[in-house]
Amino acid sequence: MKKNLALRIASGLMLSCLLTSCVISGTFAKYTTADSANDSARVAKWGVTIDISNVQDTFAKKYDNAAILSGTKVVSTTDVIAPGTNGALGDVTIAGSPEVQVTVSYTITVDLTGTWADKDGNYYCPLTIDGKNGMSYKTVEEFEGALSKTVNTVVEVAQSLDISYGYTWAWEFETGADADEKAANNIKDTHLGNLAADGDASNDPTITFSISVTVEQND
Amino acid sequence: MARNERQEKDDGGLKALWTVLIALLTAALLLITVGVVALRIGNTLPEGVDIIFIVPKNPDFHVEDKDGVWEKQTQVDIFSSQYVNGENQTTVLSQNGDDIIAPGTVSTYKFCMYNDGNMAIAYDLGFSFTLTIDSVEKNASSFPLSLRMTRTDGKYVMGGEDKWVNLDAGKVGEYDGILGASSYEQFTLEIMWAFEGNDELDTALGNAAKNSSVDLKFQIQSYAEENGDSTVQGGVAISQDAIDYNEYEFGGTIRWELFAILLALLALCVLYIVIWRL
Repeated sequence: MKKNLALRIASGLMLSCLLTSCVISGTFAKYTTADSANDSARVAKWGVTIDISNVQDTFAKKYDNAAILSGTKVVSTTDVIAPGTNGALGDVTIAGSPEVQVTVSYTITVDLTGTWADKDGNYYCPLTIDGKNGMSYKTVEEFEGALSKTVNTVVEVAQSLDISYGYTWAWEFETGADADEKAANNIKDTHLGNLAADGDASNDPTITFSISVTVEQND
Repeated sequence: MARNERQEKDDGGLKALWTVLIALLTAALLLITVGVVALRIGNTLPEGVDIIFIVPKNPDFHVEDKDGVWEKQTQVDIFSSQYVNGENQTTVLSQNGDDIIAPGTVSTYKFCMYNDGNMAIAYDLGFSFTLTIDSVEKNASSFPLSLRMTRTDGKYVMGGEDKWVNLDAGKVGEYDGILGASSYEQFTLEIMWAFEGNDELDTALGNAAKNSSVDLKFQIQSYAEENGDSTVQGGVAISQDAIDYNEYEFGGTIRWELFAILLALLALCVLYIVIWRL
């Protein structure tokens, strides 16, 4: 029987091809796929406006018709208050229709500096602010505490904002239950005026009013 | 005369051997060709068709949510027209029923990947968003949008219990993984507009929204391809019964036992002819 070396080599190569074919064939064809999804939302509306007026003009240098008698005037070179004068301490208007729940906060601060006392040094403040009479309190600090406050109000998301605040102040021309008390208070009012005119600025009875308003979204 | 007859007899036998050898070689080449073709076209073979020792690839991957299967640019339901806080108070409410988004809102979206095929799939998820005002895209690089995501077992695969992944506008957040044959994975994606972020920007957008259409579009892209190793496991088995992966026939694999038997038979035939008969 003849041995055919070439045929043996060819057969060996064919066997090798069989064994390797499965390896290389695995490199052909590759499955891929791609998809996508999306959604959109619009940004919730805010649009809240805060308008504060009459704060800069709370006090004035001149008051016409400052008392019950027409024609009476108060004239000064600086913002002053005097018996028979009155005014607004700030009007706040908050408006808008936000699509979120909010908390409306306003903080009012009233400072009474200088000397609010009669000639004997006893507390005396004849002002009426926000309906509160200064003479109903025993000390300046007590009156300040009653006036200064922070109020937080939650406004539900379905409600529109339509909020207004307004403060007023007044110094009655004459105060007192009877003629004697009126006369005594008039003397005290005059003393306050003398303190303002004595050239010593440190004892000038002074009132400072401030208001801040914020509207914030709740988490 | 006898020698001539013997010579003719030997020539006839040799011819027969050559014929058988060529037939065997042809059969071997046919097997190779069928195997190669099967692997090349295996992706399109009808399900269940087997090619001798090649297990065909039967890929079947899709993503779906409660409303149906994703396709190209499928509109899904991610955002809402109303959001409540931890005390069940409504804190955000659309005035006209549109889906809206606001600082502090968290939108939750669940979707599921299914690999019903017989081979492992490598997938990639991409997340992106755009911000437009009256349909004009705006630069929102500082928009405080962030994500986190859990999978079927509740484990966070993006972010964490107290951690969110920031997503910048125009860029793509990504997550990739492998889904084994006959497996699925459910994802729960949370998208948050941070409450404490950029108050000035938030307020500006809210004010702009009063008179203009300020819209955020969120997109999820999915890409999947067959994994190099079709036997890799990943995700949760679709079947309620546990799969014995030692017995499972993964697509694109060789039935080695059958292949080995065929190769052995071929080799024996060729060796017999080459060594003993030639």
